[in-house]
Amino acid sequence: MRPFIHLFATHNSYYFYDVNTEGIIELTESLFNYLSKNKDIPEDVSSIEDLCVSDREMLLSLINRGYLSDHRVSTIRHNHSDDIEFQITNRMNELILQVTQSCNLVCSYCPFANRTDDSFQRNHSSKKMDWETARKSIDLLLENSSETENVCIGFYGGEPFMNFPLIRQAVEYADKQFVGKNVTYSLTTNGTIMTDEIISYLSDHDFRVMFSIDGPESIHDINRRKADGSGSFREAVDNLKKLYALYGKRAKEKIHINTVINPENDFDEITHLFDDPFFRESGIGINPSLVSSTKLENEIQNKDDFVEKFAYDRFRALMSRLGIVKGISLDPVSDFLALRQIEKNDGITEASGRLGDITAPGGPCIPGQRRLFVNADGNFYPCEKVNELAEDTMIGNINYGIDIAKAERVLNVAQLTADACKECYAFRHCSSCAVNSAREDSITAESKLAQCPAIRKSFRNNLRFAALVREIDSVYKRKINI
Amino acid sequence: MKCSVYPYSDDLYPLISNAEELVDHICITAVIYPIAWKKSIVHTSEISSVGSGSDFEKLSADTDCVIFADISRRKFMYGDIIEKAEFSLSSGKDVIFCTKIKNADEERLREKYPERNIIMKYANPDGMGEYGYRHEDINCAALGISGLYRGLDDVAAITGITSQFRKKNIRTASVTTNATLSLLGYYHFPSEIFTSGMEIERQVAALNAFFKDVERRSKCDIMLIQFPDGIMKFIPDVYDSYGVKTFMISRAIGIDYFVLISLLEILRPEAYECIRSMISGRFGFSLDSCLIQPVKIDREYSPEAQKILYTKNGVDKAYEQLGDLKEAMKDVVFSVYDDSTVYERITESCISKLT
Repeated sequence: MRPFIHLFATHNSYYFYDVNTEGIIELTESLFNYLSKNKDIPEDVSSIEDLCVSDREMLLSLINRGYLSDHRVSTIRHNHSDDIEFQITNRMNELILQVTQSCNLVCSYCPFANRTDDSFQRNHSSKKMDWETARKSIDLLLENSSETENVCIGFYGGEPFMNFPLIRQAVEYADKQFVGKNVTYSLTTNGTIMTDEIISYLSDHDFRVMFSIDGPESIHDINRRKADGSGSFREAVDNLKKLYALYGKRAKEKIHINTVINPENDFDEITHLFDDPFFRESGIGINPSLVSSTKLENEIQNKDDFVEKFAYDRFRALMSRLGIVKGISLDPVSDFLALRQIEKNDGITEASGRLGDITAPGGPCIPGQRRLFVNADGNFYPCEKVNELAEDTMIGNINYGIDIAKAERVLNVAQLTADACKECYAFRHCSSCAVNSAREDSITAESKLAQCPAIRKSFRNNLRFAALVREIDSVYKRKINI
Repeated sequence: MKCSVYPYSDDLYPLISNAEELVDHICITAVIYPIAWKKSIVHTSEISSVGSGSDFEKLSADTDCVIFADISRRKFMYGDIIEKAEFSLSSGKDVIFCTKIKNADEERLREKYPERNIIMKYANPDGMGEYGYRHEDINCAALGISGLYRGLDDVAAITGITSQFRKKNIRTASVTTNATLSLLGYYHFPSEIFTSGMEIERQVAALNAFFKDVERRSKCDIMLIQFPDGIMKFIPDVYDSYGVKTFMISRAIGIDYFVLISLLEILRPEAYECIRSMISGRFGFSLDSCLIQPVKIDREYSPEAQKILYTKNGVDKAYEQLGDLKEAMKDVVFSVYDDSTVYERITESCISKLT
């Protein structure tokens, strides 16, 4: 039999991750080496001469306890394939309106700016959504959310405030239509063209607002520049502070900062943002993310010591969060990333049941149900991150509605790579979906498979972290003598 | 008195389907729902004498009174309710609140519209701590109704069974978690007891005092009680009461007959043997009837929604397997929710057990 497992080691021990049971099991070095060399193991464990008696006993015990099963998924098909139409037409959650495709900034790493080819994403343009499209989209959410108590309408750009009149019109309409449901509003902004009127409006309607601030002025203004080349930090922070003051106690919950970390910069300098008492003490949540090269024309070149500093700070934060090291000061970026790592670890929980015979890897949400992104032309996509130029990811249009068959194909994107998925140890924790699989105008097996090494690498890191957490009590606390 | 009900949802269908049971000369002539609920309203067209729709102004125009239904689980509608109540009062109508409103709003409305009747129909939690630890015997029989998990529909069950007992001229008091059903003469369950901050023993004593009070006032032979929340926890990520409230009720009043609302994905006799033994072990009463609702749990999205979401499903499989269940547990009345005779059979079974 060929166990469905992944072997890995830490500095201290040897393990396997059992895909069927989600168990992370410690092994002896000799058993680890045997399983590394032998992908197939005999049914009769007692006949394995390469193993000592105690290893054979351990192997037999593991098999008897349900580990090392060779069971694999027979058919790749998402669990919601049969009721996708019900889900989309009754439980729609979120609508995101691309109110404009234009932006007043020309950020160097923006996937929508400065493009010379349109293989992976559209370019900024002067297109704006019209009221008819916005109204019909809101009606669509109303029609399809009969079983959803909480609905959200998000506004996306470009820079959404380039079309503030449409935002206001949409909110006023939705407020009337959604009586009986809890409707909330959200948007992401570069924060540079917010007037006092806009700021009051956001507060009055309790918007959830995500500001893009990449670091202190010296870092932020490298990338987030206006068309004339000048920086945008001052305006963004001034407006953030005004909004914060107006939100009062709501600010911590409703205002967030999106920090795009560019590895071309010095990580220590990025975190100098928190030398400013406002950022250090306001309690506003930070959502850091690394610039992705996936949709950029030019590869990002890491600054020499970026990885070292980034990894070290995150390690410190992890040690602090896990209670190994106490009393150290942490920057919110590293702390957030450490928390996210711990959450991922919590997601690897044993005994969630054997893999089904017919199921799909983790990754896709139900397109159009979790959220529906409507672009300025009125075309529908599963989310705002998707390549708007890819015909395969367009799941409908404001004039003819949601194409359920197409949404189902997007949901079952893993069927394109079924053979690879069935054998992949990251099956349960895969993050691949149509968002990153679309190249040019289609989703292909090749483009989907191109993401797999990074996804598996990330999952391997998560497994090692999960093992590290276990080792803390038995190894590290002893070593550090806590 | 011609009344309209707002905001109406299908949970309140018994109000219009059991019109003859309405109390206080109430005659419901219109039900009004927010436009956002339109798609989930499926039953109103079956009652031709009741107008329905989303135009509040138009549909309430021809009525004497507007009844504001219990929205305790939809707090975000509070502002809309107050706005519409004020509109109704200013249009010369009376109002009945089955949903709790703030004292300040009540005072303001009474002061502004002194000539209008403003009636409160929800349980008043004031004085609930006065009972100390006293525990009184309750002499009437008690029938409990509960979903296995939170969110299974037990409103239809309590109204269906109540109607059957009333038809048999058995003095019946029904206790429900939905204050709007007080229009059918039901008593509103004082859920505030659970959040009162009183120590647990006093909460049980307060529940006992409430049930004793219902018995005294109604002089009932049987009390039907709709339990708040389910009797079991579903999964760790989703809030549910662990059956704690059921346990507390079972300490406050002896349950003589129990009706469980279950769901389609639990159809094996062995599962019901486990459930029966769990009910008896934890709560000390027996499983006497079981209604299977044609829904399945949406396991993927329930944790994300932080509540149990159900997906409707066909009942064919349930009917197929009902035979096995009936065979394995002959002393339990099993049926599927859409069975028109089921409430009569449950009532008969209850009478047979208790006499």
